[in-house]
Amino acid sequence: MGQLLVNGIVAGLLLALPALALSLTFSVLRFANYAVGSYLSCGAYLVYIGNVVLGMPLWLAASAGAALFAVIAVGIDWLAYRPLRDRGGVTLLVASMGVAIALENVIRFFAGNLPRAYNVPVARPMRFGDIRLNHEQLTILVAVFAALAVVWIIFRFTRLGRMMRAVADNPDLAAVRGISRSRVVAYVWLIAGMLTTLSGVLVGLDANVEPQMGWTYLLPVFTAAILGGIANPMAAVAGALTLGLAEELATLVMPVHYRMIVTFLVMVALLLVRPWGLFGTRWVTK
Amino acid sequence: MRDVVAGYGGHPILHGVSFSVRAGETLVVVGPNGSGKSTLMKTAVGLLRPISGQVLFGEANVTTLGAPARAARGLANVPQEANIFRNMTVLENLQVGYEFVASHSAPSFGKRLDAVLDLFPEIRAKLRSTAGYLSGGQRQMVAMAAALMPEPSVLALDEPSAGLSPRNAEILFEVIGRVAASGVTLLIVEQNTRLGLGAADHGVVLVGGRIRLAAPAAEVLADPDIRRLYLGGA
Repeated sequence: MGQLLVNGIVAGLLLALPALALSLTFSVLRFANYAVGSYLSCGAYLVYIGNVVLGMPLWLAASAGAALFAVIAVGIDWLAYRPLRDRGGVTLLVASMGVAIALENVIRFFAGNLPRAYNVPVARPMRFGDIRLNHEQLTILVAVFAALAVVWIIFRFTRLGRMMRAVADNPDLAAVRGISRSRVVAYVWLIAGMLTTLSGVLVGLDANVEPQMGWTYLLPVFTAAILGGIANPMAAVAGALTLGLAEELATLVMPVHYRMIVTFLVMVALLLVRPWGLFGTRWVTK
Repeated sequence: MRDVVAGYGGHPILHGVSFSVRAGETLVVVGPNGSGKSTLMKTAVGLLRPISGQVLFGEANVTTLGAPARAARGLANVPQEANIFRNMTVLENLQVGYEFVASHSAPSFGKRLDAVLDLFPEIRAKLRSTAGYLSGGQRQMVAMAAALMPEPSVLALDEPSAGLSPRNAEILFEVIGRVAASGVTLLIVEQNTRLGLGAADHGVVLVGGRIRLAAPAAEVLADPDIRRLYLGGA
């Protein structure tokens, strides 16, 4: 049971960063970025180039890859989303599907379909009584908690955080308070690009780096974000942890390879019973 | 404003509106529902770009400037109803009101906070409260306080009495009187004709997107048509 809880927390943390990125962009731009999975894959491949092709240590390759993909995410916004900004959420969602397909095929074109692995030393798992924790899981725990702490501090205590929260809360009021929405949008894509790259590295460490890795995570990431309340970034993290634990604990009563069913069931139940999420605010139409 | 035509999706709601507010004075725009008051306010503060005409701030033509740039020039705005950041504390609302607009030569945040809290002593005890949980009257006070934080030269208020009880509306207009007395130029759009014009130097009556009457507030209040149409013949 203890092992399942640890595995569930790690699985939830793997979902937390892309769910946070998805929720962050939704809260400011009011559209669900379907390409979040492809962002994760792209980030993972950029880091692969730094780590394996250029021989950088993983932490350095991850930092450089996150910085580079953050800029690429802003570029994608300029090319694909910015011209459609006034067209509404559904148009932007469809545009993001196009972006997802394009990015995935760029990866296949340059890197092929074979799974790849980061160049990291192999180490024995650590044991704490009956609980086994491998080094990849420890890396995931430390990296995700550190990233979440940084994002939380930015959100709560910095000028940038207040800018983002203000635009997410009330864009017109933010404008008359002197906040430039386009600047906030750029910052949001920078942060989302870094978060998805980091999550790509962690998913790559946990499994492999391959073109479909982001696609595999798309449904759980959307479910986690909606579970938290999609416009509430930190609640998306809670949603991710809840989903990770639910998936893992479900293996007590069903075979491991049916875990994905839990995600579907949670998504269906949420949309039927509480579409505004566990921690979100119900939208009232007057 | 000079000959402003403005609306949504190319359909004009304001049809050639011209008026001006002198520095230090209070101008109140009144009119029935659907007369274009909110469109006028959005055009004035930069949330809506006019189809034609000019918006002038002092001598400068600010027609093409967005709301953030106009705010940086000293134009503060309190929109109607959704005028606070609900998920932030009152203190954060005041901080956001200050930090993205105040110039480097402006008084410090602490000094402005003290000055604004002297104007709105009711919110001093609520600084750590989440703004969305305050009463309607308190929210309106927070919204005005946040707008005044950067020491603006012009304050534009959109329907300040909307949703308030008559007593709270009176209290709010007392505060508006104090703000006006401090030298801030006020542009107010208000549905409560008597209350609004009672606090103004000048009044503008907007009907169907056109100015029907522009005169000193006392004259507007005394106009027989206005009394009959908007003051119940009183």
